[in-house]
Amino acid sequence: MNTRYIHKAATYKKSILFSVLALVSLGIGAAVLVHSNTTNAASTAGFNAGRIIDDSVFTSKDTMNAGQIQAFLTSKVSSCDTAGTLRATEYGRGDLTHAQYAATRGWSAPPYTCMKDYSVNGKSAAQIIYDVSQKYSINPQVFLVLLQKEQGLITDSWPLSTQYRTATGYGCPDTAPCDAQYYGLENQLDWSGKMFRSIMNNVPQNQWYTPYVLGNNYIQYSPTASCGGSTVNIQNRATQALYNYTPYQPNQGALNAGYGTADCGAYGNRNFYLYFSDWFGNPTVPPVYSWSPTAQIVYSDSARTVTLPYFTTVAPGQKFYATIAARNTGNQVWSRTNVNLATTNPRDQSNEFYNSDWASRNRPANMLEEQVAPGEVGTFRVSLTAPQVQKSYNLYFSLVVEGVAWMNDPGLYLPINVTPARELNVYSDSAKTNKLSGPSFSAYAGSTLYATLNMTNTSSSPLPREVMLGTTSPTDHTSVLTNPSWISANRAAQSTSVTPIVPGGTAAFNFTLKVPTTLGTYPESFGLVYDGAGGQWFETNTATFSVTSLEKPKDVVTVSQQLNVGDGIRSADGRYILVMQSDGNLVLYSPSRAVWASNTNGTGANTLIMQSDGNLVLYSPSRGAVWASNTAGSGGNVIVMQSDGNLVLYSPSRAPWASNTSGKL
Amino acid sequence: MKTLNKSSSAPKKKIAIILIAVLLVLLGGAAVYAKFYAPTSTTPTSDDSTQTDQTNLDPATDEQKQAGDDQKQTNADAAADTDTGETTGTVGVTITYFNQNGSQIQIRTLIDEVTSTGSCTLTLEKSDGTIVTKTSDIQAQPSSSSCKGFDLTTAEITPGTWKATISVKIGTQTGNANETKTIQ
Repeated sequence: MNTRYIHKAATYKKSILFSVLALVSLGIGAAVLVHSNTTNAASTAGFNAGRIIDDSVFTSKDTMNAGQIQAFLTSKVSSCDTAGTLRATEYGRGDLTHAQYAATRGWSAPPYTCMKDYSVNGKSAAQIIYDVSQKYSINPQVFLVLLQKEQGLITDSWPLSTQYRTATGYGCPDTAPCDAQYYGLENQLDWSGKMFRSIMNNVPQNQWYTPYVLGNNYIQYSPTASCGGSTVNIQNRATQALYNYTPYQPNQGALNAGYGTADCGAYGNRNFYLYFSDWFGNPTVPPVYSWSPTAQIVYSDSARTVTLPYFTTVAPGQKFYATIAARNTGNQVWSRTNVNLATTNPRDQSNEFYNSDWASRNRPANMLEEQVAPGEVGTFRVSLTAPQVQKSYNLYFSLVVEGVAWMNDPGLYLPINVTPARELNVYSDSAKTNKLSGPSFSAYAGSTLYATLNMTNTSSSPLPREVMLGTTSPTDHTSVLTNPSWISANRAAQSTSVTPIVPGGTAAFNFTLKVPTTLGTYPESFGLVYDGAGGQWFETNTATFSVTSLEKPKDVVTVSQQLNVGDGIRSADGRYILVMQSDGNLVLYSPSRAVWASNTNGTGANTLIMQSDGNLVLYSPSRGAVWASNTAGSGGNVIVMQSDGNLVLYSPSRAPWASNTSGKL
Repeated sequence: MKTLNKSSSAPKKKIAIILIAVLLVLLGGAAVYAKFYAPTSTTPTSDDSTQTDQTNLDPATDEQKQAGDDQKQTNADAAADTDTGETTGTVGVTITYFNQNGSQIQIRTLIDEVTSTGSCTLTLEKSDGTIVTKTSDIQAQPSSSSCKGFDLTTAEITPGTWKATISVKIGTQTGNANETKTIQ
């Protein structure tokens, strides 16, 4: 064997081996380098300032339960330096412990409790995060990222108490101290959730005004205007909500820096995107099954031609209709066979507006279309029947793929106010202070009653503002209750409204009723009628009541007349009564109590006489006069029980005596 | 021929070695990338069966921790600063949005304070001297505030050039901003 050749061959093999190893190392290095270059690039390359997170992702409230949030918190911090005894190397001060370093900067002292161990009144941070996500139907991952990007709380092994105090940075302007009214972990999260939900709901009458709106906005790169900015097309409400938190966008330098810093950089929205991407996946990729509402319209008619206002008012038992349009923002085709509208908040709740059109009490409608592809809009038509309980309701709905998954909950709801279809109030006085009980009202023959009637428009059409109360049953009959204030004998009044009464709206009327002088009970019924051009009746809502005419009691005692035991005189409005009681006492009663008395109980008094000498005297058979008005010679000749509550003795020219009980109730 | 044979087999060997080397480089790189760096799907879903398995439960990276530590330092220093800030007589106001969409006109603002007390006054002045004024309360935001307005229609501000001035009054502080826009 030629050693030289052998040596050469060995050298050759060695060089090949080294070359290969070098190349393999180069390859590995290149792989690492490629990755490290693409980490930042990939992390921020997908950042779109106009669509930082998808609405569906933002509102997916069930991505994590409390246990999973706890596991996540635990995973991010391996050990905690609660006592602050470890070295502050992260701040370049390995010579100091964390507690010492904090002291040098005026930061709070230990203990430093990691978020995974943190609790408020026994409730863990994980549970607090979960609860607020459920309360406002916001993805708990959004709150986790918020806590990190605002205070670094998720990764911090020795968080300060001040970090929890302003955990989500709520109420903390860049140029001034934080506002104490927002302090506390729960408070901070709750305010964040409240704001996010308000912006997502975008209720017109309760709008949360934001610096930016959907569409093109000029957004600065930092609070410093000279750093510049650019036009950003904000494409969804979730992104709009994030800009409400950090009203700046990252410039290119900030994007190139990954998690790092750059001149004129603003990092809030960039870091939100980075943390979310790294921990939970791309925030702009919606779940496979997801949706966002594109319309919610309430109608009064089944043909869906007459719309009701966003804040809908209906009468108990009224049937009305809604259409909800939902865009398929996922990547799966929806099928009519299993995608349904479902009740939420809580899920599958038995809904009070259920009617027989529903598949069940928690499935108001299935999808109208056979199939809806990603990007297309599906339609859900619901019929609703208002319950009898009169109050305001919020009807929450979301979509479910039966047997597969609930979709995200964007928080859609229909605000419905159930009010009486009609509300008739009748009073005995023009000031409308003495309300009579109805709907069968009793009053003295010949007296005047004062009424208000609010009628809900339960028809499917707007009512003209000139709509009137007309007699019904039979239509246009001449009412026996008519008064000169009426428009005619079959038109009690015109609506006080100055604008048309929309379906669900209320038409208000004021009118009077003349109680017939002939004793008896008189039923009456009013409906809504329009007598103008194309006049018509709106008979979906009528007010029925009756008036009973009673014999008018005496309200006076004149000369030589007397009241015996059990007799009395009553004020014209019926509220006050003077009674000669069997106990010998003469008592004046208001609707609620005795307001005056002769204080002669036990004297045996049994007769009150209006004497011709002008004196009003109470006599006892055994003791003679026990009480008197002492007005002999005054000319007094009549006592009157007045409707103001005063009992007055009148002469032709003056009032020599009174009980002075006017207005006492 | 032998020499020829010899000389023809050497390049083949070299080519084979180079090919093997390149293959090894690629395999090595791919193996390392696949093992340590290949991205995994973490797409969240809204299914009832929540997705912990898709949540990254690895310890925080140095970058993430550093970014958190930087944020902590900034905030903690600000909290430790007992100087409550000299309240000057002015408050920063920016018109962030003044645009027309059909018959709807929206104007939005950014106020450099967190407050819900105070008022905003919008004065719109047309080139022909017409003046439209509106007022609103203030909406507190997490780190700033906005006027609770303003939404207008072309029935209120007719086509032409309008100068919008927003004046904000918060206690004794005042601030204003203006912007000119042509309404179609």
